[in-house]
Amino acid sequence: MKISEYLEISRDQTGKDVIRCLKCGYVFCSAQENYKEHALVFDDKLKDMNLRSLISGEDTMVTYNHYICPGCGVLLEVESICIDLNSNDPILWDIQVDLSK
Amino acid sequence: MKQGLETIRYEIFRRRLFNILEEGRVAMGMVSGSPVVVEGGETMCSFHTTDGNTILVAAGILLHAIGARDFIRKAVEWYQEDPGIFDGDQLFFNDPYIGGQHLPDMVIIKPIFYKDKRIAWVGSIMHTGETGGIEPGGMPSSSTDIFQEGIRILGLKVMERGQFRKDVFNTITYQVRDPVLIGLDIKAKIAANNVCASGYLKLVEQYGVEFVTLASQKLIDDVEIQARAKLKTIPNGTWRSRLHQDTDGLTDKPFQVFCTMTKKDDEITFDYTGSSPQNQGSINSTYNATWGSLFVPLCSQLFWDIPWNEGISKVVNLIAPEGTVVNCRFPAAVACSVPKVGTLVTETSHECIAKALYAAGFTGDVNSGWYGGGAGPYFGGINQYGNVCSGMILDAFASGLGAAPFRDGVDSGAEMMNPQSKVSDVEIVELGYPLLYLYRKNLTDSGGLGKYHGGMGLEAAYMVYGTNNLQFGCTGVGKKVPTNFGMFGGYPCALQERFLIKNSNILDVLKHSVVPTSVEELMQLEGDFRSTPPSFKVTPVKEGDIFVSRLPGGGGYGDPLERDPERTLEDLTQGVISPNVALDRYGVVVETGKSGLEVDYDATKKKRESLIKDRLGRGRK
Repeated sequence: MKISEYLEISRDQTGKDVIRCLKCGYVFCSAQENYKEHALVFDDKLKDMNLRSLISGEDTMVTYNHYICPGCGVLLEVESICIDLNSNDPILWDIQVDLSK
Repeated sequence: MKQGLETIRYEIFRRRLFNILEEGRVAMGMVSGSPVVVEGGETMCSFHTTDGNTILVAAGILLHAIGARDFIRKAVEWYQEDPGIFDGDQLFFNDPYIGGQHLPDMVIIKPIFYKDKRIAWVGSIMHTGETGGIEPGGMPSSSTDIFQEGIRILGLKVMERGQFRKDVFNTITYQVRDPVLIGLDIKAKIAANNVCASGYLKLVEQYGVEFVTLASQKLIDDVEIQARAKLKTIPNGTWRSRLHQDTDGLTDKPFQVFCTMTKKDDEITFDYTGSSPQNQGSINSTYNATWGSLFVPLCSQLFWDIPWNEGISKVVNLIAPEGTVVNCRFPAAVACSVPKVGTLVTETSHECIAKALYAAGFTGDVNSGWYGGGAGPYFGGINQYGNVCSGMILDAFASGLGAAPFRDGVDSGAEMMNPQSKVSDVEIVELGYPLLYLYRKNLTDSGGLGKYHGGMGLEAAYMVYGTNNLQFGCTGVGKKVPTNFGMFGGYPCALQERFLIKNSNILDVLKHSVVPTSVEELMQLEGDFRSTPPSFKVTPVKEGDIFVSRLPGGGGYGDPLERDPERTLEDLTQGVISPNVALDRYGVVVETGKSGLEVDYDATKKKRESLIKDRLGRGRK
């Protein structure tokens, strides 16, 4: 089952359901886990990303978390993190498919 | 009894019912004339059973896709016995703690009687651009409770037993700054209800009351069956999304909406636990309003192929903890709920739905974040003809659309809650309001990056013209946080920014046939140039003062390094992106060849390999 542009849930040789990179085959984790916990991640601020910044020069309230496949470097997800609200939050588990049925 | 319904006759009935509602919406626009209605399409007509269940809705704005249900139920609860509900009555409501989003959402409901028996209801809603609150325009950013936001009507009969109540009409209209505007809007809703009720009764005459009643119930039952069938095609699971905004309208204090969507078998639950506590600003959403904001992605993304009625709400569960921004306690201020908490409810729910649809294989129905909050400027005062005026500019209706798995987002396309909208007509705005557009254009780098990029948002500059007696305010967000989402490696939209230029020399500049066409050129004018907060209370402006709004684009889809380099070159030449974005974010190296700009494929391959190496080097577990 494709669960994103670059991720699928498939069965490995031991019969276990895993989350795998569609581009390079890298296995992140079992299908019951949050793939982001097993991805590479780095954060950037807008002013460091060479994107359009505010003309006023004011600081923003967010960082952008970039989740990367450790096998091929493809960008899996970009997530905005509000520094005031989310700095101590657990990593957002955005996709949690229930395979029990 | 239902087995007796003939399939063909039922299908004809269903389509005629919808066309009657659309005819009602047309009537509303013709009587009202309000730009919010005529250009913005912010109208809704709906039929309901005697107990209020929604039979069918025709809505230009999906926030109202459940129709007038909650107002009808309240009217029956409160007024059935005293003063009674009679043939020819029409009742006016606009309390967002009963239904709708905020006070500008004014509804009139009408019972439909046949042979002295109430057999159905019809309701009409439209957004009216003035409510008599502490600021003009109906959506004050500075209100701190609902009592500051304008008139709050709880079921006044504007029509009683078929007679127009001039006393009630005058009492309502003279509470607001623009009595003509609200007066026409009231009459427009009365007209729409009359058109719809007349059409409904023609169906009763043609098919019989028993058929119409049974067919109406079947319509609700069929939608529930179709909605459950659709849900069964989506894998069970939980999807989560979290988005932010940067101001409550009074302070620079961010807040968030957190959505956990759980789909199990043939039902789906949206749980907003984890959203911020309600705050002192006017951004809060009532429980009913949160339902409305959830209906936006339900109708446009998940159940777009199913008629909209009560059947949908039978398969959807909503959890919105009381005392949070998604279920505020009375009398919290809610005037700006639509562009603020409302869009976050819409967009977080949309992200969950989009990812679930992708897992189900419905890739053609998937797209990244659309409009991410940020209404246009609002104003009030004396117009260029010396008359009282009040209203808001609707350019935000032309925000960028989200990218999809197979295509870029549409530039300045629409707003998810209002897919039938049109961008404001420049000539109509300039004719009706004391404003002159200096320019309006798509904004470079406003869409989210990606293998497919989000559609571009708008930038516009408005100059006050023909009056020195006007106030200008704004209900925007998204200056310091992106308010929508990218998908699967795509980026969210760019940040929004607004500027106010006072005491400029623009009038002298225009005399020389020079018209600034960008913020950079406006910054060269003499005068006081400042970047405003995203929301600010009305401030006095005079002729020659300028307001600039840079609106968001759609979210991107997929890794930008996977974008076809030729398409990035095209983006560059068409001003969709700037040169540094093409090089540093898309990894596309461009050189000047014999026929103009060309992609240097060898250098692009090396650049992209280098960017991936950089990612892998920076990433940590």
